Amino acid sequence: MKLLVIPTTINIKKFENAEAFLFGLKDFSYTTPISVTLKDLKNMKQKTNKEIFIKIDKNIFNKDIENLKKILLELDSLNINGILFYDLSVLSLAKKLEIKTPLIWNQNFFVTNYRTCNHYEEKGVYGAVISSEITLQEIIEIRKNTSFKLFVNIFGYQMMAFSKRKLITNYFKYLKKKNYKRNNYIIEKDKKFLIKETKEGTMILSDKILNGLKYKKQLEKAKIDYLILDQTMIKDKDFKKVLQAIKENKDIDNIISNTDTLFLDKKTIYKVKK
Amino acid sequence: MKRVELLSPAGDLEKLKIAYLYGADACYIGGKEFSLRANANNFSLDEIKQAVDYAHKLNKKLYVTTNIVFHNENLNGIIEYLKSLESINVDAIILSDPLLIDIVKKYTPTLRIHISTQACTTNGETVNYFKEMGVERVVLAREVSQEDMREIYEQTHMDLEVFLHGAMCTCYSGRCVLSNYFTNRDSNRGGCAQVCRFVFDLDKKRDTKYSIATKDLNLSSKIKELIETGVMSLKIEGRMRSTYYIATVINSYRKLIDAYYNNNLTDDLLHHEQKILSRVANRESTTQYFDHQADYNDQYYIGREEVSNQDFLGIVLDYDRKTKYATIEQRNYFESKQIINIFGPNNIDFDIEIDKIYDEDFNELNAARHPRQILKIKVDQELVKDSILRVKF
Repeated sequence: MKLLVIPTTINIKKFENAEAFLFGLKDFSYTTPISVTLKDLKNMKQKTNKEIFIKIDKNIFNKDIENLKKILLELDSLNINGILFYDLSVLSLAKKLEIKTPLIWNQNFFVTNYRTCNHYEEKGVYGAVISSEITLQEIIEIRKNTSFKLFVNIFGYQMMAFSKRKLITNYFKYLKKKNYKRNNYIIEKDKKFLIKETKEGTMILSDKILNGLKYKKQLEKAKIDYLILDQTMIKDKDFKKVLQAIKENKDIDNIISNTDTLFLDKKTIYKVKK
Repeated sequence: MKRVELLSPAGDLEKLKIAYLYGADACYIGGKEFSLRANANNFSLDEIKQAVDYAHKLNKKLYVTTNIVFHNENLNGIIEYLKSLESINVDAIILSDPLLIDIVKKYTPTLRIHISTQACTTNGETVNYFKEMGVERVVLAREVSQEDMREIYEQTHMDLEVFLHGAMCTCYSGRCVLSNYFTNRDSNRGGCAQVCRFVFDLDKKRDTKYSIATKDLNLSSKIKELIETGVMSLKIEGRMRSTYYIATVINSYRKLIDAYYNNNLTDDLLHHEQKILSRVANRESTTQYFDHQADYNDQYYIGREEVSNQDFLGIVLDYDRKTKYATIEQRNYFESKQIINIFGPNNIDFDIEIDKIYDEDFNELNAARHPRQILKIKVDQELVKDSILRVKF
């Protein structure tokens, strides 16, 4: 089982304990803390033996398709370890262009059962990033019923929503204010949720940092392939300590506060009346 | 030339019948399981059969939503459910989880497939991808523009469905689990708690609370442009909406669509119907993404101040041609000498002054006060069952 880090820097030498890294791609990623260019990727690949993955999680509109085709071909020439995709046009084009780079299904909140994993495996997809909103037991059941490579989020703030709207700019325009921060917090009672606006829209993150490390052994036993650790909003020194603690199977409560196991041991409901 | 379909939601059998009566070409409904409005009344299999039979008698269509994002536990029973739907002859299922495409191909191959807006389809490449899998129709994401719609149609010649009217999500459909995190209710299995309509503080307390809520969608002013993009189905949102809302909205859009095809879509007609549509809504509305990048004018900043509507006065249960008495079920207060409007199937639309109001035993009343009370009113113009009485405006 490998540790895959989503860092806030391209200087990946800082994180020796990670076996793999995931970056956003400039103009094609919404949710990663940094996005790299093809040139950055090329340089990185030359300097490291670590695994490098790229996430293309933008909602693709028709005007993006030609650029997407070019990008896929360029990425394929760089010999990276995988392309995580959200929009199905990425899968469709990758097949047409005969892209060899492994594709990883990363539709955030849709990766919730083994049959759909198998559906994508039959389409030639290599693996999937399991949704963070299902329980450990559900993850283990998925593992038992699919031969897909499975990636599980184990640490970090989780994305809750993405909107095409500029939810912060629009609010301040309504208030007729010109000076405001595009990274801000939504406060609901005693909870604070990061809300981050970019040129593509607005993302809202969880108030708690996911910490599923107490389930690491079970995930390892279940043969999960990658554990994902997201450094978004976490300082380098703390994140390094977290990585070290994971390697040593130690607790991280004295390193990072404001953590929670989120849905790993809490099932959601959907019917509230009979 | 194939005409565009007017597609209505229906939360129960009464609303379904009203929707067809008032001019919907097709309805979409949810079953007791597997549907994204898990807390609506929804239809049992028996009721779905009744709905299908009713629709087909009128030469109209019925679609059933099976559009949840499945967890492992939800896989139980889905094959049997789809087999039942196939045997009932529903016209299509609406799905967002592609595992159902495999199941349909293997077990229920005559079931037609529509891809839900929950799958967030925003480009022609993805539409063609679904087309190659045997999908019959794709419901495009609400973030696509008029230009996108036209291009996607030209690229694919696929049967495309778009939203015409009703509530909008703040975030991309399928890309939001705010409800899961705030309330533990799974938004992708029908438990959405509409957290996007809550109010918050943003970094600090301000006089104006922070809101991410949106205004509704209303494309009545863009009927011509919408139809001319090539899309084949125009969808009204709202399986949890009232009978009055469904009747009013369907009736208005039926008139606008028919006027377009009859080359008499006038400004007067448009303004009249827009006035009606804005009255029946409980929120302001805009054209959202159709013709611009949605901005602050398309959102709400006044908290959850949604105006409830008391325009719906009653519904016609029966009409006696000889005596000219209509039997009415009261829905809101009205009184004698009040001038009201009556509208309904068969192009019924006129104003009358209520002369006298009687109860079932023909005792005279000066007002209709009690909810669901059965009343008698004399109406010289012939009415049909399920015509609606409303405030004149």
